[in-house]
Amino acid sequence: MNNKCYIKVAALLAFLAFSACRGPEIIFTGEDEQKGDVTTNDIAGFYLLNEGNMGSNKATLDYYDYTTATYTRNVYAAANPNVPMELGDVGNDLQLYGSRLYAVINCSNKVEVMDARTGRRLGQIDIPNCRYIRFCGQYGYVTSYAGPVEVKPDYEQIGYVARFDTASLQVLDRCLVGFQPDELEVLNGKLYVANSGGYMVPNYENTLSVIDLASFTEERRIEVALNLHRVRADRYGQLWVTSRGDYYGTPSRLYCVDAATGNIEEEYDLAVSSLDIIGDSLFFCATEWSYLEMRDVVTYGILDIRTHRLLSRTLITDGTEQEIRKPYGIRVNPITREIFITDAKDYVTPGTLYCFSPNGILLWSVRTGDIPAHIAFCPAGFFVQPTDTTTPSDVPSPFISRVYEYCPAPGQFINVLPSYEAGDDAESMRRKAEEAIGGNRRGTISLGSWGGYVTFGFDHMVPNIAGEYDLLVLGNTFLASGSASERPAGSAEPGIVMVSYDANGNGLPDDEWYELAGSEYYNPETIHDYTFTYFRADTTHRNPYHSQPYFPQWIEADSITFCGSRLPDNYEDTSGDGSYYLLYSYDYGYADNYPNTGEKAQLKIDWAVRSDGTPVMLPGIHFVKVYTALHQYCGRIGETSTEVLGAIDLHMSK
Amino acid sequence: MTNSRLLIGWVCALLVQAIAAQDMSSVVTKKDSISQQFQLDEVTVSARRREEPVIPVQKLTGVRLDALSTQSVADAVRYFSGVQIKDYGGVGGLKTVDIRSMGTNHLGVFYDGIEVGNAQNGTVDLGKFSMDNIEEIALYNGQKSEIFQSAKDFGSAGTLYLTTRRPKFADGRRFNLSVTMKGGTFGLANPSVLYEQRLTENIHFSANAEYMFATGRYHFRYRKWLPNGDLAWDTTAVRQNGDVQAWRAEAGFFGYLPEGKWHIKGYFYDSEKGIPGAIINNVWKNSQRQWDRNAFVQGNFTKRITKGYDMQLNAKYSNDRLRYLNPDTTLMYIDNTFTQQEVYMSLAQRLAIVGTQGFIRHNTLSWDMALSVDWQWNYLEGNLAHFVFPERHTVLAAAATQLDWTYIKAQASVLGTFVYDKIHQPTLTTPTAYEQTPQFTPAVFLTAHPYLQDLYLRAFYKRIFRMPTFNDLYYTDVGNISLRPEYTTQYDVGAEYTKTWHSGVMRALDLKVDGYFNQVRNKIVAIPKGNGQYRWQMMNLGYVEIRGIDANASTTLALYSRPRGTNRESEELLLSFAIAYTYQRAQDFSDPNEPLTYGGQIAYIPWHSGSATANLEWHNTRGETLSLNYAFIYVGERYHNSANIPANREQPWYTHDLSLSYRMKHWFFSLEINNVFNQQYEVILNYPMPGINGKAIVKYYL
Repeated sequence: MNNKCYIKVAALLAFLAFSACRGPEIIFTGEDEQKGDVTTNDIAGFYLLNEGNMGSNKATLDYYDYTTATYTRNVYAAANPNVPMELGDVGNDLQLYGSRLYAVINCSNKVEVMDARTGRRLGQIDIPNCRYIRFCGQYGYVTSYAGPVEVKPDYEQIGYVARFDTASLQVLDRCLVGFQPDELEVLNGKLYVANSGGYMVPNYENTLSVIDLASFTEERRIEVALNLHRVRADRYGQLWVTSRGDYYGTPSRLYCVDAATGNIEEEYDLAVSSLDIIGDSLFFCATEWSYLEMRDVVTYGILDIRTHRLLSRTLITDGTEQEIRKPYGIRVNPITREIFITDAKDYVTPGTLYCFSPNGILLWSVRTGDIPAHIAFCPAGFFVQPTDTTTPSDVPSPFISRVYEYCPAPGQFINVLPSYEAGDDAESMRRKAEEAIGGNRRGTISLGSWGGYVTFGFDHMVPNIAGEYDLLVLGNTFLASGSASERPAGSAEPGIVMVSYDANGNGLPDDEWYELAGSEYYNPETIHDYTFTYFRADTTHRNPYHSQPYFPQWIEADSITFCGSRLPDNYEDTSGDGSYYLLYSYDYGYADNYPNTGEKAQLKIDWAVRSDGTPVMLPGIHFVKVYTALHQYCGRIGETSTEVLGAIDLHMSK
Repeated sequence: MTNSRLLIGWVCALLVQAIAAQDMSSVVTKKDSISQQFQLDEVTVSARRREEPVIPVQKLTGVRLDALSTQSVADAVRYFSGVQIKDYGGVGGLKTVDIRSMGTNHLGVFYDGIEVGNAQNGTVDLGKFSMDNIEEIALYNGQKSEIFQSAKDFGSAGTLYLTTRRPKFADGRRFNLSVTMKGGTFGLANPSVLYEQRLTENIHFSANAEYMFATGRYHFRYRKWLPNGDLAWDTTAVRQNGDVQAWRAEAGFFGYLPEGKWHIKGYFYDSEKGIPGAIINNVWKNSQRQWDRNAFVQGNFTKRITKGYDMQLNAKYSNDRLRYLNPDTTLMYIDNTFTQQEVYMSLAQRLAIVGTQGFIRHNTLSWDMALSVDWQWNYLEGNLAHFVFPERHTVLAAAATQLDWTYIKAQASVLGTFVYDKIHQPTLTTPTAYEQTPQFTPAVFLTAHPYLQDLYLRAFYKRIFRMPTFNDLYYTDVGNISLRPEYTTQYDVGAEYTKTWHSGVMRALDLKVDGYFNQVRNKIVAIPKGNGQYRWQMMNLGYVEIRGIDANASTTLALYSRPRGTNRESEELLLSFAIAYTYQRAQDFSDPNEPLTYGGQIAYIPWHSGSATANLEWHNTRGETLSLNYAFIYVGERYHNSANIPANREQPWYTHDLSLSYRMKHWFFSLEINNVFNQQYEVILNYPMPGINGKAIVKYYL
């Protein structure tokens, strides 16, 4: 019996020693799941940052690919298997800017910078206790709780906003704000920072800090409510601000603040924990702990940011909300309008991402990492080009880097601005146009009559920052002084601005074009599918002041045809005899329509629409095409032709 | 019930019991096992085979305890089956014990017979208890095999008894002195001194002091591989901020009475340590500090008052201060100090109702009853914002009975618990009172000795709970005053075969196996709440079922033996083995709507774990002993939460420890090498454990 016993003991030992040994710790390199249907649209996919509970070092990045309908967990570790300790501890924010993905890893005290197309690490920016990130021009801005410490007599640590260079990934400057600043937002040259005071219990902060981006100093404070958390700007110059309250007598709320005046325009009795603004709709999820029911009471809904009306108190219409234990993040796909809601459950086990159709029906759901929280949509084409062409090798320029095509319609300045010389062809004329308007040279080119155009681009993506002016096309409009008319008028020769995002990443303007819908886009008198053919032989509209040929001489064909939108005529013959014309400016949204210095000349990429008129939310643009929008002839001042003197990325010029 | 009514109730209960005892004492017959035990030399008690194997017990004592490389109590407990240690690494790191997967709050820790409480968070850091003067560690599932004990002894799902050395004197000696120095890796320097004085024949004095310092620095290495086998990354760093400095002093008087004994002792512990923290990306060093100051005075008085009536009194006052400082400027600044006080009084009584002892064993029958009543007061102060200064009165009353017949021993007990809390909010002038619902919980234990030889069969059932702690109930923002107790129910069936021989190669064989099923209901878990960062709320939401097997085997072989008739010392070469194995399936059945976690193995509980030790011991006729010891500890694959997916998997870990010691009349030398194969492992995610390390001990006795 004893012998048998020893055999058993030996067998057990052998089992312990050999069959249950440690293996090598294998990098966890992603898991795929098929979810949803393959769709092709301007959003190729999105990244989802899982926060991971504090101390777990389990911040992970997932990616959903619309083009293959595949959800992949933990793409960071797969793309960066050689980075020790992976992504880090507590992912607090995720933003895509240009071609780069920025993940704010709170407890790892860093912003991780990745190539958005590959997920590969490019570097990191060390910022202690960093919280949220936003961008403007070549700079990124990150809030941090970890400013200078003072003991007076209580321990106090002021927060700050760090400004870093997106090219060098170096922190250049810091601007002190309030205690424990959370979200921040860029609007009209200002940075608005939500101060929480979360470490100062019970002395919470109640202000937004307003930082002037030009001087990078705190200008003033806007008092809103206790313990601010989120701040988002909209296209109407409003800020949507959430407060967490003090968890005792002061509840959590949502506020609408006029950024210019600092006035609170609206207060909503909603404990909004997460929100997303798409178009005029603010999608939100509100979570409030009920001591009565001992659970979270969750409200989803939509607000109209223009009318301030609460449009809906439901987003999910098929009962799925019963399954969601801890709604944590909400995002809406700007193209498909799918609603994404993340469920963080108990914070320590894997969460779930739910994808709902715009009318609230569950399309699919998928297991995520721990505490799924932040989503960044990736524009189409990001994953096509294997080589990195968009990473700026040098400091990007705010001005036109290249003219791709110069194709004017006949006009009195054609062959003059720029000048045609015998032997010139399309390429040499293109080069002359580039020499005129490229960089900050501010030469002039004329586009001739209706339809004549120029196509140019930047050496970087001009980001589309919601609610902000992104782009300025320089023209030569002046306004007639002393004009009695209420409508500004002078020499406005509006040109329609088209923009394009380098979706295929090849650096060429061969991607879809979007029209910036200016003020006359919805004017019934605007003709949207106008076509016109000019003939070399036609000399009808010549005037005595300009004697050179009006038809572009480098074009070999005898006719040129243009198509596009034609705006209603804007002239008024104030002289009554054809000797003096006033050209009225349209309200907004055109090139060469207002003097370059005013806000009215500036353009928002937000206005972009497809050829069928549906709005599109572009991440940014690489290419611009401007064409003369009017087809009118004004007596002795001749045909109305848009002039272009250059273009500026407004986010880089402030 | 009010505070004063509770007190009155307790006093009344004592009086009634005392009167009842007087009345009945005249009718009972002789029962003397307890008084005999008092007279026995302690070493003999420890070495003696248990006489009451009613409840499975695991013990480490004497030579075997010396042979294991253990710095703290937690290191020793690893050798028990059914136990999982949560070890955050290093000399100063937190070490808590989870018994049979019911949670660390369900283990009662008793120091010299009186529970070490922590009303604030319910867990006791076993890393704090030095092994310097611990003479026995005993772990009971259910409760100790006694009915003559304080009501608190009935009050935990499992109980760990730490027994310090009680003075004993060789013939003619009036005092003992020993000085110990330990030193080793992690910058460990650990001197201690023990002095024992025989004041009178029946009153002894003992004093013991210890200082411990360690830098806590050690290298650790993290490595990961690609699926194709290539190394992905490999990084080595030094564990920082794991330094610890601790003072401990104990002194006590120990007295012997006719059919009784008493002791009173004071304990003082003061430490400062770094909290090494989790290793995460970009953060390789932490700066949090913790100061602990624990002081208590406790006493025990045990006496047979009349034939058939025994009583014991226990009393304790403790004052514990904890300061936690987070000076890290990248995190929220925290400087919190908590002070908790406890007053504890207990009366336990035993009545022998029937007791017969025939001339032959086949005729034994005895029936005892016991009544115990405890009263305890706890008060917690803190400097946190919105702190509510909780105060708690607890009355525990236990009634127990034991029937001891030749073939069967049976115990049954019921414990009543009455808890009354008050919170003192600074903003309110009057305290707010919360009365917890009285709880009555039973336990039944059975042991059969069917062939009156080497085989014992046993079974037990116990239902018990833990009260929500002060933190669970009242911690600023997190606490939930409507929490109910967390219940555990245990069912255990086991068998033991044990035999000793006085000659031959095989000297001892002990085989034990227990199968069990436990349920943890109303498990107190933190759930996220509301709108804000990492805000939690304690809730009674969890439900866990545990199915397990504990198996132990040990044997001693005499490879060489030359007995001497006159001298007690013999020359022997002994080889002994001990194996402990645990299988546990501990499943989270909290939320049927969560397929990912429902039925998943709960956090950090391995399916397989165990230990194996081998000891080769030679002792000669001069009483010198040379001992070579090997210890292996194995913890199998686990998951760090109940979603058992690859991302949450934790690797098995196992360490091999070696030690060599030599004991002479006045000297003791020991050399340890732990984790011989330098395994780089973690018990808790992101808390790296030390690789190979060593220690040397020199001890001088006078």
